[in-house]
Parts: sequence; C-alpha cells; structure tokens
Amino acid sequence: MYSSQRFMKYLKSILVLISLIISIACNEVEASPITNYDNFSKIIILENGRKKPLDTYARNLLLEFSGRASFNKKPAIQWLAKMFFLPEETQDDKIFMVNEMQVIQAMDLNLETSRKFSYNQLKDGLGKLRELSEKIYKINEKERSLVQKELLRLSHSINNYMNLASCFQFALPYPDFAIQDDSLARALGVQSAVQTQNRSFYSVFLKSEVLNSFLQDINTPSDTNLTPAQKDAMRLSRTLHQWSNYYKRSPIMILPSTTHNQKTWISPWEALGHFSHSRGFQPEMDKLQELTSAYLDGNQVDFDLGCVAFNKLVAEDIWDGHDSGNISLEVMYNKYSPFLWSKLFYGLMLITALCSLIFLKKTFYRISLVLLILALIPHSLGMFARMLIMGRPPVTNLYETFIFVGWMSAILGIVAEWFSRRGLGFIIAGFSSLAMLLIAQKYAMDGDTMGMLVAVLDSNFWLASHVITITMGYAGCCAAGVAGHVYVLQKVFNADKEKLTDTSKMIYGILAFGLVFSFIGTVLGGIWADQSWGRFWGWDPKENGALLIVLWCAALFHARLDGMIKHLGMAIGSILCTVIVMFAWFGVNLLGVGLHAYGFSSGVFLKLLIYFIAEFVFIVFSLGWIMQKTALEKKVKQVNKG
Amino acid sequence: MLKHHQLLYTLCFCSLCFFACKKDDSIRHYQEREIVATPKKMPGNQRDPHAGLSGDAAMGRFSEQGAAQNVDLAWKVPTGWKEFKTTGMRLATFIIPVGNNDSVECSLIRLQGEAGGLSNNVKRWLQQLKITIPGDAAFKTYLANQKRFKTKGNFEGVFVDFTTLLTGNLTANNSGMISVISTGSHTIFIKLFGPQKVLQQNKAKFLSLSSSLEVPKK
Amino acid sequence: MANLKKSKLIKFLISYKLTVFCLLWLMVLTFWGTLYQVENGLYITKERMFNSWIFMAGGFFPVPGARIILWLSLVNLTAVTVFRFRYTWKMSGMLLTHVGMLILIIGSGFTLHLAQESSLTLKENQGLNVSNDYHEWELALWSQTQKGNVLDKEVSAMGIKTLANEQELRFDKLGYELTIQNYFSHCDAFTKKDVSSADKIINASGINTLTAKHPQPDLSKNIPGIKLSIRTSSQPDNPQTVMLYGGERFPTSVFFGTKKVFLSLRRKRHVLPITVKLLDFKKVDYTGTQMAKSFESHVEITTPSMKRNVRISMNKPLRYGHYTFYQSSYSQSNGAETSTLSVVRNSGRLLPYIASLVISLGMLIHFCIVMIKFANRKRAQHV
Repeated sequence: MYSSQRFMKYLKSILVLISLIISIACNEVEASPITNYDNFSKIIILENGRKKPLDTYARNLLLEFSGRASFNKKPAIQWLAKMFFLPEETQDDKIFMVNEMQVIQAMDLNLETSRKFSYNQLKDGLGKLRELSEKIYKINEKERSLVQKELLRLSHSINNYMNLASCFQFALPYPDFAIQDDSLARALGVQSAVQTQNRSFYSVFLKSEVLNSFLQDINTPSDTNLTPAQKDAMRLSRTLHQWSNYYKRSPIMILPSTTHNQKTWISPWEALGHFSHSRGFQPEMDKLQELTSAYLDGNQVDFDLGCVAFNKLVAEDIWDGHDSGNISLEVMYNKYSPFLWSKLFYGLMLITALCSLIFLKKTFYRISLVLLILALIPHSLGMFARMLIMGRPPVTNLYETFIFVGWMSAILGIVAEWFSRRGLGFIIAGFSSLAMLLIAQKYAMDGDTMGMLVAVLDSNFWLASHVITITMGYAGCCAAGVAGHVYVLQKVFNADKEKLTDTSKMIYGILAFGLVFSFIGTVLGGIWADQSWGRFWGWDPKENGALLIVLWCAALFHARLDGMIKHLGMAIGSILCTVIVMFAWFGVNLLGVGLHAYGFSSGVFLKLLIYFIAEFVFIVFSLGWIMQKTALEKKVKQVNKG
Repeated sequence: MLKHHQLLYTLCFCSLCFFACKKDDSIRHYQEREIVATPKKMPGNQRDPHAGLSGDAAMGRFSEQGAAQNVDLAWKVPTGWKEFKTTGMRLATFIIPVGNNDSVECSLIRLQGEAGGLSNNVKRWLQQLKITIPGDAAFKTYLANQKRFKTKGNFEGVFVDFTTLLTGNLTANNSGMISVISTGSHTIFIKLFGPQKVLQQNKAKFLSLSSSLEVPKK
Repeated sequence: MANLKKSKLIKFLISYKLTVFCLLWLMVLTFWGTLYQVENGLYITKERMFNSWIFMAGGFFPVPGARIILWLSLVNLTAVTVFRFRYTWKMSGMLLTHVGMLILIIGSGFTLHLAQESSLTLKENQGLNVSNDYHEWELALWSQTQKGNVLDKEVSAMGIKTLANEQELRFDKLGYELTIQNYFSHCDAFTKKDVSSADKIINASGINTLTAKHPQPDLSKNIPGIKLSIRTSSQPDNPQTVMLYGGERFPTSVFFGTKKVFLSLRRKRHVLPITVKLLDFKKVDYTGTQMAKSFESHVEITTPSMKRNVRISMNKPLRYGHYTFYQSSYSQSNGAETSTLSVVRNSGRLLPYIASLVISLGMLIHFCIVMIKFANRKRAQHV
C-alpha cells in the first residue's frame, strides 16, 4: 500500500517534469510564474465613486461571482491577473456560484448538481440566459421569485466576466496583428525576423499613422489592384477599427483624466479613444503594455517595475492629493483580514470560558482573558484601519454596525467581568462578538463594505454621534440579552443563589447601559432629522424601531421597580429586548418603507423569523421547566412541613 | 415647593395651547411677492461636454481610409432604387433591380480631401474596367468633355461616363459611370458599375441622385 | 399635601402600573403603526394612530390612540414629579430625566399644534415670499402689479374646508362677490363641454367640466374643484362663471371692464417673513457615478432690513426666527434647475433639544450614581 502510494508520487513528479520540459520546448509557459502581486494589487481603480486598490476590486468581484474572496485558496488578485492577461485560461475555473439548480435547468443545461460552475460549462446556455433575463427585467423587482433573482445575478456575473476578459485585450499578442507583408513590416519598423510573431493591438495601434500612409490611395475596400502591403495594412487597420469599436465599453476605470474641467476616470480602451486628440495617456498605456508582456513572459522583476511605474504615473495625476498610504493600508487590511483573526480568537475564547465554568477553572479563566485580548487587538485595529481608509467614523453602513456592536459587546463583557469575575463577562463578550462578526461576514457578501455615502449621511459629526450612540445602545441590549439567556439557563440548571443574583445584577447594569445609549442615540437621531428634514420625529419605521427599544427598556425598569417582575422577569425581558433590537435593526429594512430603507436582503427575512421563533421556543420551554420545578419544590416543602 | 407650582403652571399653559387652536376658514389678506425668473443664459452648457470625444469619432481616424467627420449629407433616392445605409467611408449602397431577380449595385463613397485627384482615379477605374487608356492628350480632352454640374447643396461635380466610351462585348457587361463631387473637405464618389445597357437606362436617375446631394438643413 | 397624597386618584396617577401601561401601549401603537404604514402610508397612519385620541382597530374596535396615551403620560409624569419623588441628590439623575420627559411631551404638543410645514419650490432666479402648504387648499383672489421683475399680488384667500354649494362669499377688500355653484372635494377635470349648461365658462387651462370623485382617505391626495360665479360689488348684475381646479398650473384671470382679477384654487400659501430668491442650485456627484455627494441651493434672502446670500445644503438649513429652510429636493431638466426647500415654522423648536439634553444628562448622572454605588459595594464585599 505504502509503496504503491510512493510510486504514484514519483510518477506524478516525473509527469510534471516531462510536461514542464515540453512546455518549455514549445515556448509556451503554462502557468505564469509571477508569484508576487503586491505592486499589482496597489493599482488604483475607481468603482462606485471610490478609489480603491485593485486588490479590493478583485476580492469583491470574486465574492460577487463565487461567494468567496479567493479562488482555489489563492488570493483574488492572482485570479484577476489571470483574468486580465490570460482570459482564456479562466474559462474552466469554477467561479460562478449558483444557489438554485433550477437556474441551470432553466438555461437548458444538463449539468451535475453542484454549487459552482465554470464559464465553459455555462456558455451553451448563455443565449437562453439572456432571453430569460430580458424577460425578468420587465418584472417588478419586488415580484421576482428567488430563481428569477438568481438568474439575473448569474446573467450579470457572466456579463461582467466577459467584459473583464476584454480589459487588457489591447496588450495581449494576437495572430490578427501579426504583420505578413515585408515592406509593411519595414515601414512599421519591425524586424523581418519577428515580423510574423503575434502582436498586440496596442503595438500596431501606435503605428496607425504609418498604416494610414499605406491606405491613402485606396478607394474601395473591394479594390482589386492593391499591393500586398496595402492589403495587409488594410487588414490591420480594419481589425484595429473593429476591435476598438467592439471593446470601447470595457470596464475598469484605472486612469484618472480631466475632460472639460470635469474629473473622471477612464478605462484603458477609453484612453485609446482619446489618443487621436492627444497622446496624454501614452506613458500610462506603455506601462500597462509593459507589465502585461512581463506577466506573459513570467518576468517578475519587469512586472513589478511596470506596476510601480504605472502607479507612480497615476499618483502624479490624482488631483485631490489622495493619500496613496490609504491604498497600501487597504491592501494590508485585505491581506491580514483582521476580523477573521478576531472571529477565531472569540470562538476559542468562548470555548475556554465555557470550560472554565466546569473544570480547571483558574487556568481556563486566564487563557480566556488572554484570548479575549488577542481577539480585541485585531478587531480594534481592523476598525481603526477602516476609519483611516475612509476618513469616517467607525459606523457608516449596516456591515459596520455589526463590527462595531461586536466590538462594543466585547468591551461591555470585559467591564462586566471586572465587576463580577465569574467568567460571565467572557461568555457575553465571546458570544455576542462572535455572532456579530459572523453576521457581518454574511453582509460582506453584498460587495464593497466601504461604499460611498448618500448625501444626507455625509456628515461625520452626526455619524460619529448619533450612529455610534445608537449602536452602543444596540450593543448593550444584545449583551443584556446574552446575559438573560445565561440567567435562564442557570435557573434551569439549578445554579446557586449567589451566582443568580450576580447575573441578575449584571443584566440590570448592562440593560441600563443599553437604555441610556439607545435613548441618547434616538434623541440625537431626532436632532439630526430636525437638522436635515425639518422635523424632530416623523414616525419613520427606523425611528419607531429605536423608540420600541427605549420604551421596552423603560417599561422593564418601571415594572421591576414596582415588583411586577423580578429577576427572572428581567432576564426574559432582556431576551425579548434583543428580539426588539433585531426587529429595529433588520426587520425595519425589510418593510421597505421610510427614509432609512437602505439595504434589503431577501434571505434575511427567513433567518430573522427563525431567530424569533427560536427565542420564543426557548423562553416558553425554559419558563415551563422553571415553573414546574418551583411548583415541585413548593410541594416538597409542603410535604416536608406536613 | 415652588417647583411643584411651576410644573402645574406649565401644565395649565400647555393645556391652554392645546385647546386654543381651532381651524379657521375666514378670509385672510396677504401680500404675495414673486421675483420673476428671467431665462438664464448658460454659455456652453448646452453643449454636450463629450461631443467629438466619443470612441467612434476618435477611432474614425484609422477606420479604413479615414471616413467621416461630422459633415452630414443628404440625398434623394431615385424611384425604384433601394437604399442601404452603411457606415465607414461607404455612406450608402443602392440596389437597382434589373429584371430576372438580378440587380446592380451603386455606391456612395466619401473620402477625405481630394482622394487622389480626378485623373488618377479615372485612370484606375479604366484599368479596372479593362478599357485601354487613350494617349495623354486624348485622355485630357476626354476628361474635359465630361459633364460638369452643381448639386442641390451647391457642390461642384463631374459626371464621368464610361458607357459612351466604347461599345462591344467587353464593355457590354462591364461599364461604369461615376460622379465625382467635391464638398471642400471631402470628395464624394457615386459609382455605378455594371452592364452598359442597364447603366444607360438608369443614367437619368443616376444624375438626379448625384445632383440631389446637399447638407441637410437642421 | 399629605392628604392629597393619600387620595385614591393620586395613588392611581402616580402608580408604576399606569407608567408601565402607558409605555407598553405606546409600544404596541408604535409597532402597529410601523406595520400599518406599509399598507396605508405615513400620512394616514399618523392621522389615525399617532395624532388621534382613539384609534379604530380593524376599523371598528376603539382602542386608545397615541394622543390619549401621551396625555396620560403627561399627567402621570407630573403627578410623579410632584408627589412621588424625594428631592435628594441620589435621585437627582432620575428627577432630571423625568422632568426632561415632561418637557419632551409638552414639546411634542407644541409641535403638533403650532408647527407648520410647507414647501417652497423655486426656479433659478425666481424668488417668493410665500410657501405652499402640503395638505390644505385655499381659494385665492388677487390683483397684481409688476415693476421690473417684481410681481406684487394683493391676495384675499380663504380655506375651502367649509365651502358649500350655493354659498355666497364677499371679498370686500378687493370688491368682489362670489357664489359657489358646485364644490367638489375631489374631482377630475375635462375640457369637454357639458352640453346641458349654457354658461360661458372661463378657465385658464380650458377646463369645461368637473366630475366628482370619491374622496381619498389621505386628504392630501384629494384635488378639489369649484364652479363659481363672480361679480363686482359695485355692479352685481353681470356675473361671470369661472371653473377652478386644484391641478392647474396657472391662475384664471377675469376682466370686469379694465379691472382684472386672478382666481386660483391652490395649496394654501403661508406668508414668510423674508423673500427667498434662488440664485443657483448645485448637485455634486461622486466621480464616475450618478450618486449625489451633495446638494446645495444658493439663495438670496430679503429681510426687512437687508439682502444677503445664504447657502442651504443637506444637514445645513437656514434658520430665520421661528422659520427653518431645508434642502428638500430638486429637479433638473432642459438646463433649468429647480430646487425645493421645505419650510418649517415651529416656535417650540428648541423644546425637544432642551428636553433631550436634560434627559440625557439625567440618565448619565443616574447611571454614574448607580455604578459608583455598585463599585463601592463590590469593594466593600472584597474587603
């Protein structure tokens, strides 16, 4: 068994070696040996109004296609480079995520059930897909079914994919641009030895003046009395024309330009279109050609030099002194994915904290503390990096609320732990932070998490005050909810009284924190609304959501004061408070009305519903259990007395 | 104690406010003032900022032999001819039906500048038609004798007629007539090659097409 | 005082149960109202649930509306601050919070009754000293004089809520008398002539017939129409018939000899203390997108004492006395830009601000007091 495995291993390596030799002999390098994409990933691209590194663009693109920010465990930027420079080779990459097999069936394809497909697998169904998506476009957005939405998404992804394949076509060698005629080659300054080599669009395009001189006395394309040079020039010129018409709408805005005093960014193909007026873009385009050739030759040094030189040229052009440090920071932020580390540490910490309740208490307690700090460091750094990159307060969109609430919960957990020292704070911190980061991860699937803000949100002051306080309120309520669960479970599992009072006090404290910040946040929101819409309160769904939290917390505290509810009531109340927070947070957006209706995800409704049901089931069962138990205890007492 | 009273006063005051408001529908008088907007002139704003910068126009430079700046042309299609618009330097193609499901093609081509000059072009066409070029002197008189005309748009044109040149089997199936019209910046060729008989039948229509050229009024 | 405290009524009024009831019922209404909006829209929801005393659940079952609850809360809060609170330092935070709540509720009453919302839509270079109400209509008559580009209108106007058929109206200041022939609270207008009527109908938009429609529950969506006859007070025997429709863009003018009077059925105008003239509207997009980064209106305001230029943008309104002008919306077509400002007049505008400040302060103080207490106890335990 062992030897046969070994044999296979040898066989494999020999095969690899042979194929390598063959490929070298054929002067065709199969996979490009470029290994370092650091400089390439720092190329700045404008997308949705934001200047971002190509690295982020690549990640979001793959995320959109495949639901993952990497391909085959390799960074997205590496795949994007392949997409740009060797587009044919990506056609077998399984990058298109399809969540509904019905989509594949609707495209009249007969494929095995799978979640990911390659372009080649899908290409036979593209005609059908286009036909279907045109029909779906006519349906009202709200009335589209899940399969229809998925069809549209796939259609959009494939279109996007096909457009991307053309981005760098101008720099790739093609037989279409090989020069066949000797005299033309001489005139174009190409040595006859390499004249029949494949050439790129761009290399011929630069010589189009020369080509034109050959074409001057041709009158009709069907002219029969052309010299071979003229014929070849005509062919080249016609191909240039066709290509430029065909590709002029290619995406990726990587060249800053100023037209009519308006700042815009244009794609390389558009830049070629500007050549007839001025050669302003030639240095940049030359660099793009150079780095493309270097990639194809597998020349890492030239590739890096090309990227660096290109970045330098662009940086000179950027008008508003955009700090290129931000671009590097963003690449770094992408590379180290700090929230992934936090998730890992929070998860581990949660396990050790739970262990510390059962055995090896002191050791596990200490490990938990270390792990919590280890988790908080990347969490805080990640948030800080985002603030620096965007020049914004930490919370500007739904995704960031989760990151921030997770962070705040961890802090609250630590504070709670400082008071109680029973490991409960760790559980609160671990549980809510982990949950928040996991939810955040889901929301990151929607694309760039650092989008630009609509005009009314464009106010750092209010973002920093209202949004932060309200999310702190959310965090308090969520943390109190976790503590509430703990209390109920403690009650179910007969924890001793001291522990129960401790938890109860913690709930009280955290909920009070939640109430204070929810209220201040709500009021600040009212003031912001008064500033921008002219009314303090307008019964907008999002405002109502915040009000619900405040009213519920206030009701809980008053009921507690009166003795209408006791510790258990507070615990269950805080669990319900989390439910209300969730309603205010996601549920309101689902209603699709009001001024705050930004962001809507169809899958959210179901998950939210499941969460609500789960909470109610938890409450009903544990309450039933506890009541039964107390009734039993009473009976036992009575019997004992009797 | 004072505080309590204050609060009660506030309460009374606001109750008053709440009830004091009634909807009033009696006639009210006011002065309304409007500053009437004079139409604002916006120099340059009407202009499309991207005019002349679109990919097409820019790429036109190397499209075959430099077609088209934005000088539009209009013409009147003779009855019985069918027009197909094309792009590039060929502005239009006309199909002329000739019984038996057959047809000949007439094309309208625009080239920049003088496009090589009249005599050079005529020489080439004669070569294409395999018609021997007469001696220089004879050729000059031949050219000089071709009909000069003015189009509707006031462009100067020359009508080069090969159908009158020679008769015989060779030219019966392979003759031609061409209008060469100069618009200043461009030269326009209207070319009709085909059997002599068909050409002669369509001569009037061909001339009417040639002389209908003009810059369309906006 | 002591006796009062013992009375059953006061005991009820200061009870926590009342507070909890109010809070929970307000919660129910808020939640309900949020869902209700999806079906019925914000305006109706506000009218039926939040601004009303009684809300008809399911259309027939009366339950208390937000107005009753807020009144109850007001009474409850007042009673609590007067009778329950002990005025000690320890309670100072809580006391502040509750006083703040009281101010907040009073402030909301002020807003409900005194705030006046309207809008002001201006083309570039156009100026106005009146704004349009969002909901209410008026029947306006005016004579106008123009000096240069300044158009002055001497307007007499009245609300249309109480209008009835055959009603006689006297606009004495301008010297006209009106008889309402038909009043429609919601109608459609047609240019087709009604054959049965022989009157010659005057209308600027060529309207000849009005047909009644069933009024919408959302009153602001109703478009009224009036058929009336107008005559001068001095010569009451030569009436002219005029038709007015709420959806018209231009007023209808009627001549009596050389006297010209304008009539219009339009959104109620609110007279502003200043004239606002739009100089320029600017919209800036994020580079390479259609997404707006900012909107800004450059306006010139004419106050009784001077003219000055002001920039109004998102989150940066213009405040003048009790009035506030906000950038609300815009339109761009054919190179002409129009900016809409919303105008709010609210003399109690500062109350919510004060209340918020007081409550937040109170809460923070209380939170700190409790925390300190807790920490002290903890320390004591450890010791």
